[in-house]
Amino acid sequence: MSRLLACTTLLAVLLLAASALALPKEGQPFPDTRLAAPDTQAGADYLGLPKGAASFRIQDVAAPYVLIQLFNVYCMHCMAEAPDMERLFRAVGGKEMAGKLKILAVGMGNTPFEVKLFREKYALTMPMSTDKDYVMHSLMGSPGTPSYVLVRNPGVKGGAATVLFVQEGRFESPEKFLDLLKSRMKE
Amino acid sequence: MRRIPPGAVLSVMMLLLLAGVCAAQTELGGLFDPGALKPTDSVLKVKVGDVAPDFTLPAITGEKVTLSNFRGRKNVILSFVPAAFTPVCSEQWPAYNLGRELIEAQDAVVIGISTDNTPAQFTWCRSMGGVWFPVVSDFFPHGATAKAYGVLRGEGVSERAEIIVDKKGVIRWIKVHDINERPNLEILVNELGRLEGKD
Repeated sequence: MSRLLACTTLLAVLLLAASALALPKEGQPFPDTRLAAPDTQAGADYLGLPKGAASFRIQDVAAPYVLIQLFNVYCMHCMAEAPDMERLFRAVGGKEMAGKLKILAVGMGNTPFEVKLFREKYALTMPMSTDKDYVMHSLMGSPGTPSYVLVRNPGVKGGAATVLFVQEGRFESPEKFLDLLKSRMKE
Repeated sequence: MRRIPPGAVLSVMMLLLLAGVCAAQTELGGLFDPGALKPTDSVLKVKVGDVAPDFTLPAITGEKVTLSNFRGRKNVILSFVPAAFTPVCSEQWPAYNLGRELIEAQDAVVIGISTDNTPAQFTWCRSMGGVWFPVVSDFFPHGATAKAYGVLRGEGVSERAEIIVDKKGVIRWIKVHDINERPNLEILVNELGRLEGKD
C-alpha cells in the first residue's frame, strides 16, 4: 500500500511538472516581464512607448487590450501565417478597433537581425520585439509557435495585465480570429 | 461512502500523466527530441586554406551533387546537420530559406548534408515546406563525407558544422557548432561578406 502511495505521489509530481509547460490560464495575471523595445520607431510610436525606451512592459502599451504573437522566424507555420498576420494587423488598425486593441509580435530566441530579415521578407508592418534568450518564452510555459495571448491592461498604474485568451497554433483566418478576439474583449 | 480502489486512482493518474507528456511532445511539432547531447564529438581533418575534399552524393531531387562542379561558379556553404526530424536541424535549414537573398547576393549556394538516407531527407524537407538548396545524403558508405572532413560523431551522425568553400574549392571558414544550438545566421552571412571582400 505504501509503495502504491509513493508511486501515486511521484506521478502527481510529474503530472504537475508536465502541466506547468503550458501557456498562462485565462484570468491569470500576465507574467511581469520586460520586453526589448520594438525594432522600429514606428512600432514604438504605435504602442505609445516613450521615445528611446530600451525595454517595456505590456502594461506600458497605450491600449486597453493587447494581442501578443509569440513566433519564431524559422518556424514554418509562422512563415506561412506571416501574410495573414499582416492582414490582421491592418484590420485591427481600422476605425472600429484603432486605439482599443494593439498587436505586438515577439520573436522567441531570435535576434534583431533575424527579425529584420523576417519583417523584410514578408513585408510586415506590425511592431516586432525579440526574446533572444527565451526569457519570456520560458515565463509563458515554453509554448510552440505561433502562439497568441490576448491581455487586458489594468486601468490603473502599477496594476497587472490579465490574460483573456490564449491559443497555441495558427488561426483559421484573420477575419474569424478578429471576431474571436472581439468576443473575448466583450466578456 | 464507497471507497475508490487505490489501483483506480493510480490508473487515472497514469492516464493524466500520459496526456501531459503527449501535450509536451506536440509542442515540438511531432519532432524527435534527442535531449542534450555532447556539444561536439569529433576531430577536424581539414583546416582553412585546404582544398575541400571532393564528394559526389545523391540528392533528394534524384540527381547527384558533386562539390567540384561548383568550382569557378559559386561559393559553397557546406551545412552538415546531425539528423532529420529533430528540433534544432528543423530550424537551421529554414534559416537558409529566410537568408536566401543574402546568401545568393554573395554568389553562394548551400549544400545540406546529413547521414540520413534520401527518403527520410525528402520527407523531412517537405515537412519543412521545402528548401531552395540541394540536400544530399551521406548515408552510404555511412558518413564517408563527414568522416573525410572530420565531422563524423561517434554515434554515426555528423556534427552541426558550417564550412565555406570558395570558388577555387578552397576552405575559407569552418565552424563546428555546439550540436544543441542553432547556428547564428548573421555570423554566417558576415563570413560570406568577408569572403567576397578578399577576392
